[in-house]
Amino acid sequence: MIESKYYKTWEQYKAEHPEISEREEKAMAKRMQTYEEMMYGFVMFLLI
Amino acid sequence: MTDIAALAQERTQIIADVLAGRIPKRVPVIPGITYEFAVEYAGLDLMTATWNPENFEPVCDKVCQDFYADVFPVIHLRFPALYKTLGAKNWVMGSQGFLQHPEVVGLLEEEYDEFIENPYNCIMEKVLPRIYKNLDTDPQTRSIVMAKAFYIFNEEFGNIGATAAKLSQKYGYGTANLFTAAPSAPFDFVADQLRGFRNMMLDVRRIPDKVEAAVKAATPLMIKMGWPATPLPNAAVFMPLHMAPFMREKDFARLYYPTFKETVEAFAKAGRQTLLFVEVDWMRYLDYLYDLPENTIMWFEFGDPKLVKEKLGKKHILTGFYPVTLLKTGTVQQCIDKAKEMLDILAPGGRYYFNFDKSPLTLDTVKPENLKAVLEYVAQNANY
Repeated sequence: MIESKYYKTWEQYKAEHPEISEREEKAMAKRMQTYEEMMYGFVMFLLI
Repeated sequence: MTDIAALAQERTQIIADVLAGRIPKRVPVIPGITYEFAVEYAGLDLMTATWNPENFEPVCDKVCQDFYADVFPVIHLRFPALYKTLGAKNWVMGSQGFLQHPEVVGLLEEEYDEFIENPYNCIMEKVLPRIYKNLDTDPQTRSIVMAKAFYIFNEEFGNIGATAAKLSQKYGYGTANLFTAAPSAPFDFVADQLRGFRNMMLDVRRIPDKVEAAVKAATPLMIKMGWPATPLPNAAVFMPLHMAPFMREKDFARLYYPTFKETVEAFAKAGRQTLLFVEVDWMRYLDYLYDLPENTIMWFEFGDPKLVKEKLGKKHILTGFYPVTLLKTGTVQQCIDKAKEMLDILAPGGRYYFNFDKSPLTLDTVKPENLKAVLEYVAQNANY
């Protein structure tokens, strides 16, 4: 688990967006987290 | 079942056996052939061909036709479009079209504390704009540069994945991916592109406490980088090892090994093997390597294969040692004799697949007929 303002877990994102309904969450959580992980992987690739 | 499907199944099985520490039907042949070599072998101009992803499939197809392998053999990691878009200082185009890696310093000495406090924030705010000059600009322009770079990154890797899958089906390659991710040992990560080789060697002597704290801070980033998102058969995280051969053992024991071991152990606990590229000569560190999780895959560059087989060969998976330079200087017979020698030393008891000590980089680094002869020889003559 890393702490950074440039990387958010779904739980952290959700806490910052209380407007997200349970119904929306089911549809969006996995997809949103995938993009977060892809960007992390990309940034770290730039340093190898 | 078609012949191709049966071939793929057999190859997958021998790789699965080796990676699990079982004796396979024969020694798997898993060479890594760089895309740069493949481009030149296919008769294209390296300087221009690597700009066009459409070249990837026909270039790889030519290599797959001509060189034996049990797994899709081509490795492609460096993309001119990506590094040009970012204004990279760490990967710059050489005069022959090969991307060169000059020494860079992404993290200044006075920024150690910032990195230790929050490494990922520090990477985003200090390191990336220093190494990639097109990110050192106003936020709007930076966001556009990052968007282009991210698109190129996904386009290139998407193309590589699709081509590898297509050609694996065409040629009956085994199902295996030993490069699911490429995290560094944490010490190497801090050294390679943050402090640079020269600075890191000085830091180890002058400010070892800072180095130790920075390496510890980098460890969760490396673990996250290689963390297996989904279970995969015959999969490994690739970790090239850089700095240890240049260190004193007492510095290695304190600053390099603990977080390196922690990282490899984290992957093992998550069910993912690590493929270590043991660069240069690690003979004085064999006892440390022994203590890594069972079935860690170790691809050796230099050293004594007999000693390594004796000390590590009953616990870990070995490969490498075959001097790729011989493929440039030797005759076909000399190259085959060397393959026999490697097999005699490393194959008994299993836990070994064939690869060279490093990948042929460009066409002028080997004679293709030697490369072809050695791969064919091992494929035909290494049955258990």
